Amino acid sequence: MNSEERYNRWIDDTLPDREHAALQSALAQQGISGTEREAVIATGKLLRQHVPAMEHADPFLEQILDRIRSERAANVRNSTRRPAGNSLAWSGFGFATLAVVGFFLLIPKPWTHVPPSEVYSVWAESDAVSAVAVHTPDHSAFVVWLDGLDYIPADHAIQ
Amino acid sequence: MLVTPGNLSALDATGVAPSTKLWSALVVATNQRNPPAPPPALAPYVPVLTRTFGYNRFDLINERLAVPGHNDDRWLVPSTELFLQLQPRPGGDSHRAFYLVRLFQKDRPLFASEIGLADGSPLYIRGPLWGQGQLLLILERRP
Repeated sequence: MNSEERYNRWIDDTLPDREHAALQSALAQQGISGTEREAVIATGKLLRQHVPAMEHADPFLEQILDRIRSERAANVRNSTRRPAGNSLAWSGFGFATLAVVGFFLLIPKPWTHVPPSEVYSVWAESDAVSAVAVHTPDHSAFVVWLDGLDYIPADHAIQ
Repeated sequence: MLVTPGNLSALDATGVAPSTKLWSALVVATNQRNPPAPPPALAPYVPVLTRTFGYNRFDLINERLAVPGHNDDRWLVPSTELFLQLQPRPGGDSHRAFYLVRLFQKDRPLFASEIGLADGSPLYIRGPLWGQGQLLLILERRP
């Protein structure tokens, strides 16, 4: 006997004496006294007096249960299949968008690419000077690197 | 014979875009504990200059924006000490031009180089030491 059935039988006063006493004690510990039980019993009596008895209660109950089961199944489908379809569509849209953005941002476009400046050859025109062409560390430009040049004193005007 | 910067002439029919200009700058690079902000003309180049040459302060000694010619030598970078000679070479298009570049210290030639200059892609030249600093030249083709 589960707790609901035990409670109903307690309301209907059909519990065996031993279980009745135990449940009464448990309810009393939870602050539920006899007055609540009396109120529930009175409500039940009123319902029985004013609501007509159902002649075919079992088919009616079965219809309600069928309706509940079908709505539960529909809810399950709604909560699983439809979002899955939506998320798949959104994922596809997201990947397509990323691909387009990546194409325009990351892939070099030959129709707009201008090659950087280049040094094709470099040579020193003085025996004491060495000249080499090197890339900047980020390879964005060339540097002609000269060594062996004469030091210019600070008091010597450049401009 | 040296041609003065004032002799820079307009373009003739060489295939070089008439609107193309060459910007050249003479810069002195030093290291300082709290360097001031670079001059606006150098600000775009400072990150590359710092990483390439290891200095943190860059002062602009002089700059020049000139229209490159065809037949005559062109002298860029106004300075009493350094002279940058530019001789256009055939070929090129609206985005790139070819030159023979020579650098002189007074009348002493230092180096020569054949280069292709593209718009917005500078060429850097590490020149001599001057006082406590390092002289650098920047050459850039601008549309």
